[in-house]
Amino acid sequence: MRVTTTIICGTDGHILKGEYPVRRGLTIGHEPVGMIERLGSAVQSFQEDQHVIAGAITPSEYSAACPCGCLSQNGGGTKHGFQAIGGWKFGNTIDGCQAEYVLVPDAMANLAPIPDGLTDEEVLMCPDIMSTGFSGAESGEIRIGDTVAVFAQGPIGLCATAGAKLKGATTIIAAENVLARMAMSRRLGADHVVDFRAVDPLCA
Amino acid sequence: MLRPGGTLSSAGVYSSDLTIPLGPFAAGLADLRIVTTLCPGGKERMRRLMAVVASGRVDLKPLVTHRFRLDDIEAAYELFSYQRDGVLKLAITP
Repeated sequence: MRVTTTIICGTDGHILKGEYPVRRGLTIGHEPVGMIERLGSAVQSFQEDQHVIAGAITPSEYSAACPCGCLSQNGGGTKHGFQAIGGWKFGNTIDGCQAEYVLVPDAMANLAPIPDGLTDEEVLMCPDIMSTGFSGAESGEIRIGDTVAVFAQGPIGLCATAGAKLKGATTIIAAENVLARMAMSRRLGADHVVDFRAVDPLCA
Repeated sequence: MLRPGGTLSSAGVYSSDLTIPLGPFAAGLADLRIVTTLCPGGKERMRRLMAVVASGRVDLKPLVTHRFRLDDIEAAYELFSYQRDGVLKLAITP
C-alpha cells in the first residue's frame, strides 16, 4: 500500500517512551489509508491504485482465534491457534505505516476497499479508533433502551459514546473534564456530560 | 456503578494488577459481567465501519484537529504526547 494518510495513536507514544517495547528500528504506526501500489501473487479481485484501508489489527482469518470471532486476536503459530494480542502486527511485530509504503499481511483477509466518494479523513478512524470504541459498546452488548455511562471522552471514549448511541442506548452519560471533549461528546450522542473535576461521576 | 446484571466493558489498556472492590461487586452475587476488548480487524469489520461512515450516521471528521507532513512527524509526536492545543487526532500525509 502507498500510504496517503495515517495517524498517531496513543499506543505509538507508549512505544516511543519505551513503555511498550518493540524491536529497535521497527517502523511504527498501525492505521493505514492509501492506494494499492503492488499486488502480491496471491491477491485476487483488487487492482493497483485502488483506494483501500487495512485495520490496525490484521488477523490471518485462518488461525483458530479468527473463526471463533476473536478478530483482535490470532494464532501466532501456536499449537492451539490462539495468541493474546496476536492480531496486532503493524508497528508491533512487522513494519507499520508511518511511512511512504506498508506491506499488508494476509491481504485477502485485510484489504478493504473504501466506498466511492469517501475521503481519506472520513475513513481515517476506521482502522483503530472507531473499531476499538465501537467494540467497547458491542462487547457490552448494549440493548435498545439501555442506560450507559462512558468514562473519559478521548478519541476512543468518544467513539464508544457514538457506538452506544448506534446500539440503541437511550440515556448516555459521559464523564470528561476537557471542555472541547465535553462538547464533542454531546455532538456524538451523550445526553449528559459530567465534569469529573466538579463532581464525583459515580454520585452524579 | 453497575446495577445488578450490568456490564463493565473496558476498552482500556492496563499496566498494573487490578483489584475488584468487594462491596460494589456484591461479593460476586450480582450477575455482573466484566468484558475487555482490543480492536477487531479484518476486511469485513472495516467494511462495516465504512458503511457507518457512508450512511452519515456518525461523523468522526471533527476528531481530526491537526495535520502534519510525514517529514514533520517528530513535531506531531511532540504535540500529541503533551496533548497540546486541544489535539484529539492528527492526520499524517506524505
